[in-house]
Amino acid sequence: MSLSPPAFPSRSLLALTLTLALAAASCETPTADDTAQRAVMHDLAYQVMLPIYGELEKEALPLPPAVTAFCDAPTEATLTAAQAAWRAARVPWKHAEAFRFGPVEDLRIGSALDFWPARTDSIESAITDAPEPVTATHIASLGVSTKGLPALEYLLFDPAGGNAAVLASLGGADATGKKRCAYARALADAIAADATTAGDAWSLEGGAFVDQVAKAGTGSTLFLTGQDGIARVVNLLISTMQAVSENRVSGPLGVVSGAGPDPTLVESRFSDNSIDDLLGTLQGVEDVYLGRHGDLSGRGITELVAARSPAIDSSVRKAFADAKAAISAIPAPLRTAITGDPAAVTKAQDALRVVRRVLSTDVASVLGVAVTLSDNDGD
Amino acid sequence: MTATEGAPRESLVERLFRPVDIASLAAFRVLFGALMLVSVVRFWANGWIRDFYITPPLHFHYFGFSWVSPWPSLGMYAHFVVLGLASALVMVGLFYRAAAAVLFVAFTYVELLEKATYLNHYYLVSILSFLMIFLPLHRAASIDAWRSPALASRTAPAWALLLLRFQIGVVYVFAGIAKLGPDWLLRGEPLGIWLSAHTDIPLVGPFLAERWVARAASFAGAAFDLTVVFFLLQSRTRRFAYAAVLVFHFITGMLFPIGVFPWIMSASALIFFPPSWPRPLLARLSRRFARAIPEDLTAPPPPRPLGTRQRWGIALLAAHAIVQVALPLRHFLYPGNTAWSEEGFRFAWRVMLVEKLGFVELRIHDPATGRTIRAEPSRWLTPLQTKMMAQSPDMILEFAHHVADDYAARGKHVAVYADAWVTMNGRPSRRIIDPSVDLTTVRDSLLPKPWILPLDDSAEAAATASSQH
Repeated sequence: MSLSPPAFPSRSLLALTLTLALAAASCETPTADDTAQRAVMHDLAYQVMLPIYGELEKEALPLPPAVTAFCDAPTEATLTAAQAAWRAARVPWKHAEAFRFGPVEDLRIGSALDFWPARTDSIESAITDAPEPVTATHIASLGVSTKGLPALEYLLFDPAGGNAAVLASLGGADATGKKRCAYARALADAIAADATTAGDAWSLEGGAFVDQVAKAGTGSTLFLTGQDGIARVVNLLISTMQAVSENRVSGPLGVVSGAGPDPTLVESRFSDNSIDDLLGTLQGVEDVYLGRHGDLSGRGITELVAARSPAIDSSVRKAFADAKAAISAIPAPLRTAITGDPAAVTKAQDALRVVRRVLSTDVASVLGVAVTLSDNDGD
Repeated sequence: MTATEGAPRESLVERLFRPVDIASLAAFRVLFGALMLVSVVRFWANGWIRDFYITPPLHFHYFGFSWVSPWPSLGMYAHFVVLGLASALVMVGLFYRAAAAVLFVAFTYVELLEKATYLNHYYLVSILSFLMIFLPLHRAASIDAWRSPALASRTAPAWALLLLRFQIGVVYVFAGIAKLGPDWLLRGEPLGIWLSAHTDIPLVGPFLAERWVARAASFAGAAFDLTVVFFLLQSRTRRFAYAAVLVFHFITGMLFPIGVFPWIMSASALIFFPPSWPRPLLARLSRRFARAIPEDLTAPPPPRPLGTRQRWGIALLAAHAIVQVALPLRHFLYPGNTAWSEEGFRFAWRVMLVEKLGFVELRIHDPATGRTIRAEPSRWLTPLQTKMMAQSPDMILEFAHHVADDYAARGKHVAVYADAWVTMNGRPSRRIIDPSVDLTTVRDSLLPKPWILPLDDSAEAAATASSQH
């Protein structure tokens, strides 16, 4: 038996075709296409990410001279200046945490800059074992638990003894003090070098990683489509919020382990910069979502979300505002608040969890982003 | 083969046993075996044997099948070797019935191991491989028939063909019926979300973010599912309908990660062609191939009167048909939106109907200390399990029990509550489980689950309307 000869399409098929044709004819020329995703990636690269890495390099470079100035003349003023330089370098790094990918991960700069929580025993051992003179090259060869911003923070700040204790230890005139300060100076050199390496890798004059992001879907070998880039960025935001809400708040609060509050798990517990750290990271996440940073402004994730669901976009913006308010309401410092005012910390934790939830469910869903990168079939 | 004009009208039972050309059934066997072999190789190559069955410390089970557990590591790989071998044997028709039985048992075992990997086409494979045990698909174009000429036959009873057509038809028809809802037809979701994520595709990409395209595609998809079987059965429209099948599955295969599903459905839909459709094709390819399906054997007459075996066969066919119709309809026994609660959602051909993402945290309360801690699912689950669990209430319940058992093993008897939020088809996320219910006090069953919070669209009505442009 042979197949039937071609026959005229059925009325239903014709009707369907007609319906689609009419629908097409009645609508305007399409205005949205992959350029929306590509445009967002372009603006995120040039209006948010590259400027933040530029700031990281800019803010990290004063760190070595500030620490050197302190080591050369240990006074309250030079110590305060070194501490201020540390806090200043911390700001762009926390912003950059929202999109920790690319050179900062490939070159392992992220861990080298900010392995947390600081392991004080490891740092003390590293100081003792360090050759003299201590160089940035030596620091670069060390494990991440003995260097970076947390290690330098440990040397520059003393929450128990205050600046007097730091002046006595780090600024001591004896060999031990000199060696500690030499170690601190080498740490600052290494931090500045890492920040410069990261900044160079992103810059057009250097590794031009910025164009791998900006040209998503238009020549980038990292993101073959704009949607690939959006998916990666959204996943980065989600993982950042998970780290913030779970590791940096829930962990110290003891609601994960059940062991009760643990101040040693508080980020930046020596400098009591913890709340600023939280706000900084949250600001970085919000900047990527909104597509703006400081005075710079472009197209962000918000445009894609609002185009699909203004309600979800509003809920995300509200979640950011609520989280910032709740974090700001924690009575500083965080290391004492977890025991003195756990309700305030819990409230902040809940607010951060809402940000994480709306990003990982509402935003990811409405943008068609796979949160867990599994290639399992799904029908 | 058609009924002879002028002959007495056949009864339904007689029509079931009327001999039909076996060619298309043999082709179905070859294609199905080949696709299963490809699936097994693909599963292995993607590392899914390790990721899905060896790595996870715990597995999600189907109701009533908690006793099914994976082999030790090497055993799972050996299992897939057996599965691949059974597929190959089915394909070439060697030791066919035993191979089909092994394929059914081995594949269904894998499917039952882990609920997080549930897919409609896996379920279809289980059903088809089960049916194939009883279908004489090896009596042509097979090594069995070559080795045993007495087995070779030009024909097969019509019920074998009708059964496969029914089974494939059920998939399309119920997939179409499932689309007759407000999300699919009025909101154009989840196609709107999925299509807008593929605007990079050349030529059509710029249109995919348009709301009207999602709506039109939704209507077209529902119309396709609801009507394609009818048009495949009509000789005048069959070629066009099959072309639509190919286009539909090609597009869905391009847009969505649905693996071999489009291939299986495209191959299976050939069963709606006249049963001798492979003969001209084979004749064109090679005379030798064409001889693999004998044409010169006498067709056996239909059995009359029916023996006990035939009567039992008819009864089983009827029972199978009733079950296959009842399962997709069972969601009417449950309150609310089945896509939201997933009560009666699986094994019902509710294909590609939802874009869901969930977020779950468990609150674990120890009455002995009065302390409550929060548990991240990733502590126990793989990313895939976490993702699938977070959107499925029954899996959240099972996970809560896993965690409680974990604590009990350490001498702590805890209460477990879920803060579970789900977004579905573009709605803002909302709670899906009553956060005040201690899930350790809830036993899973097939009864309605009152601890699942209903999907209330009234709060989002305005927002949803404003998002339609």
